[in-house]
Amino acid sequence: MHVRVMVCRAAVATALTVLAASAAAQERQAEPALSSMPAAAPTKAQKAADRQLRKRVARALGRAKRLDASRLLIFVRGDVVTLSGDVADSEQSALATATAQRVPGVGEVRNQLRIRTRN
Amino acid sequence: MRKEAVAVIAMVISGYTYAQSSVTLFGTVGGGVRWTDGVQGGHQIGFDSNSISGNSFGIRGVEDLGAGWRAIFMLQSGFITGTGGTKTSSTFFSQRSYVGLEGGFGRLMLGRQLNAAEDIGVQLDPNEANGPSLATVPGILWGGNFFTLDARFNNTIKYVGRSGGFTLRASYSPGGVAGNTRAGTNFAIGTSYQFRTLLLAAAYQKTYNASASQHAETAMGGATWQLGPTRMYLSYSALKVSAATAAGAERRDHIPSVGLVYRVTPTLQFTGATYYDIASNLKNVAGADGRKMTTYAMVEYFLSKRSELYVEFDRNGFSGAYKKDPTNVSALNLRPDGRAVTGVSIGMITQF
Repeated sequence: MHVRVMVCRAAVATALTVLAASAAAQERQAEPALSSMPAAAPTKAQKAADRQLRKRVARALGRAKRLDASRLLIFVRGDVVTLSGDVADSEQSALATATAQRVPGVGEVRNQLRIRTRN
Repeated sequence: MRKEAVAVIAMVISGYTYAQSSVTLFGTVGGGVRWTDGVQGGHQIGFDSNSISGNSFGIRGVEDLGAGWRAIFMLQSGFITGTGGTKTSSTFFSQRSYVGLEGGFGRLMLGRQLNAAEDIGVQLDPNEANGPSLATVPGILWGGNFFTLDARFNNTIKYVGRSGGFTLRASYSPGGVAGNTRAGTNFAIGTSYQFRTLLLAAAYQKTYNASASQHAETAMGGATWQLGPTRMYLSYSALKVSAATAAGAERRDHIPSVGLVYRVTPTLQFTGATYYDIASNLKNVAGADGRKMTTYAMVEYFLSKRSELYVEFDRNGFSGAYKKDPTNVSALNLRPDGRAVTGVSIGMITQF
């Protein structure tokens, strides 16, 4: 009996963790792209650095094996990369995020990619 | 969302390997209201079975064979939300039905699918040529099978190979007609190059009709490029249809197109395009020239990664001999001697 209660508790705790995680993920997704960015206008040097990093990220995504990068929209501010646009399935979405994350200089990758089933 | 959370956990456990064995059920269901003007009898209000992307459900599978090899399959059935009927009668897996092998060499797919040229046509259309009818997918005429107006090719063997940003696609659909190696066949080739956010693509295909008395050839080329929050689309296609008899003339179409996808905010997106079809010798009749202009505009509001609300507008205008083109007259229900069909839809879509 005791064991069963413990198992139940563990199951409830796991469910809550998963729910919390998914809720957090949802919040992150709903957050507009620019909200967490510095309020001050970026200097010329910052803009140039953003452009350079964006080029490197775009190049990596364009060359990634098995990834169709033709419908991505890529935004960079500081070391934060935001991936937007469409991909065909969740595997492509995970692949895009992981590829961007591996580019030197990238701190955080925000995934705003939409799954769009090709009908 | 929950499914994704589980997927993320599974990914972490497996150490970020993507080549796992899995079978996934997926699909799109959309519906709304559609107003159409310019059809026989004036205008009408009807149900909209998702003019943005059409509806389908399917099963996708991947089996990891080890050493970078994967066996894949996909079965996808198109349907009409309003009636529950299949999109194409007697073709249950109307959208895709193929099995294939993936490895270091690339990917080989066998079955009913988009051919190599259609893959390029899809990449060069802002809405992925995803609409359910000719109203928003004019490319069915020159990208699909010109003779059957099927948007997919049956019995197709397709190869896709990638190296760096370069992709090569080739496909062949045998006709299976004894004593005639041309009848009902299709051959297609397509290439694309992805450089940063710029995509350059070109394709060619040749289709023979069921008796090999006629063939249609299509060439297309184009580019897409991200400019700020917008992806711009520019393409040019040409269609040539041989005459079945000596008295006929070769039909020729030139189709320039521009379009864009503008992500206004992460949850609001605008998609629009115009295709201008300049045709001569329609129905292989010398001097039967005409023009057709297809325009669509879509506003999508994303409620989540998978659900959305949409407003859609499309207009197909005709001039000259194109006003009497039987394909368009029947597909769009154009009223006799009418000049344009206009549609406005509003509805919602969810995906799973």
